[in-house]
Amino acid sequence: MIEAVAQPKKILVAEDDPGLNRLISFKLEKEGYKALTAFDGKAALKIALEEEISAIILDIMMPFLDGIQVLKKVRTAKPHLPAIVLSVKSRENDLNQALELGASDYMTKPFQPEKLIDRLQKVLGNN
Amino acid sequence: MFIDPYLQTLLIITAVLTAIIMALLAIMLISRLLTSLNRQKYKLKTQQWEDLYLNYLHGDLSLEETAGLMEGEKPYWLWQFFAPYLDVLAGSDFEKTKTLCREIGLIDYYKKKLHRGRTVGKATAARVLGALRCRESVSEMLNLLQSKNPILVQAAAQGLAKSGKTETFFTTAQALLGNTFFTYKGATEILAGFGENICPQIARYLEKESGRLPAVGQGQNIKSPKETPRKNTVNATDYRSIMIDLLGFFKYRQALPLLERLLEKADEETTVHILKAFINMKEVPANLDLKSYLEHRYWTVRNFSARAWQLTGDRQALPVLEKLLSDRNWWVRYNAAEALRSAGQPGLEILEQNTAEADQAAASISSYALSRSEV
Repeated sequence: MIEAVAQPKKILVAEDDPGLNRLISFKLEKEGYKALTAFDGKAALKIALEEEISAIILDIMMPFLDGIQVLKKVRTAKPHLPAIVLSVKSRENDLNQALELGASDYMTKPFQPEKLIDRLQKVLGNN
Repeated sequence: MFIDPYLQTLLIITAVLTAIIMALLAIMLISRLLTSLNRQKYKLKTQQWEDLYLNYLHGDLSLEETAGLMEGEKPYWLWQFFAPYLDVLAGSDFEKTKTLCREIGLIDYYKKKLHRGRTVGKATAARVLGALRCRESVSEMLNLLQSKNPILVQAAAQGLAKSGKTETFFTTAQALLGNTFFTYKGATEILAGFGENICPQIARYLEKESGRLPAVGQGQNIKSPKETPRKNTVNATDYRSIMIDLLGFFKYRQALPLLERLLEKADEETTVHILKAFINMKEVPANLDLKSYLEHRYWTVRNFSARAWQLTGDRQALPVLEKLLSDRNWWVRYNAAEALRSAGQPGLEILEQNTAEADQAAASISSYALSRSEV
């Protein structure tokens, strides 16, 4: 008898800082997710629209297209996709805007990656 | 064979010049090649280190194993590798990174540099040790704040701000203002490194200050509590202004009543900074009447109060804003027009009326604002 193997959930990590992007992706993979990476807004939008992803971790400040614009465009195609937004504290207005656009949660840098994973699990559970 | 001596000299000069040019080209080529090789080497190293580091953070590699594989590498390369992580990590991952940096000797290396290095070495060391929150280096960084060299003062200020030692905040602020040439914006960005926990301290300081106003004014120097002796003096208005800027930067809205009280006795410069703080906080105290500031004799005050007005939408001030459409300063006219544009129908009507006005400046800025509205 062939047993169906559960596919890992795909999470898009959209963060322009390569070190942080790989660190988050590494931690996600260790938790059993499949991380898809994007280092700018355009690439993030392309993956978000084309791939079957379960959630998106989205940095606000990214080249070509910022996180807010990405979220706006993703929201029209995938209104219920869980999104966790990352930003620095001084860009509080952007965070508010992201929450208004339906971001599930946010974290300000610096942060503990474990807490990010906890929150992701929570929003995935809620979803 | 006889060669004309003139021609001979010319040949020698040409040969020497050619040799010099060739040598310079060779030096440039070799240096480019070395830089490129170094870059490639660094890239390869960081790929290896990243793998080790991530596995260490996750607990798959021990501290000793990881440190053993990273030890002996160029300290500056190691620092470049760790710096971005230290900026964004908090909690246990930050602490583990710091422990690793200590184990591979990075902290000891930069502590020595801070103590005995040259300017660039000392400046880098201050930034590294600050980012690693090495409290044992704080006293040395405080000494650097008194340096005559603005580069060292700046690096020490950045180091202290990152170190999280909020008790050094006022000393650092004074040194930045007194010993460097930073603008308000530059100094605010460095001091913001201390984090928003400094806001209650700033509010307490300004509260005391408000008791001393209006005795404080341009040209007077301050004595802040618990500070180290200063070589240079700091203008009281500058110091107060930077404190207000920081409250605005962190959107510390608890300070709104305090800023409103300060505004009553403030000089022009302080007034501008308080209005800017309101704009950053996206809130103006409820009972504050901006009309007198819109009519202020200084254009910077009129300019920022026109921007702050957009947060209140107080209709009684509409006639004053209309007057500002003819202001002699372009920025005041622009922000008055923007304020009217944000006021909805009554503001748009005023702008439309002014497009036909004889006053060229008012007509031009009104048309511009209306065209932006259509977009």
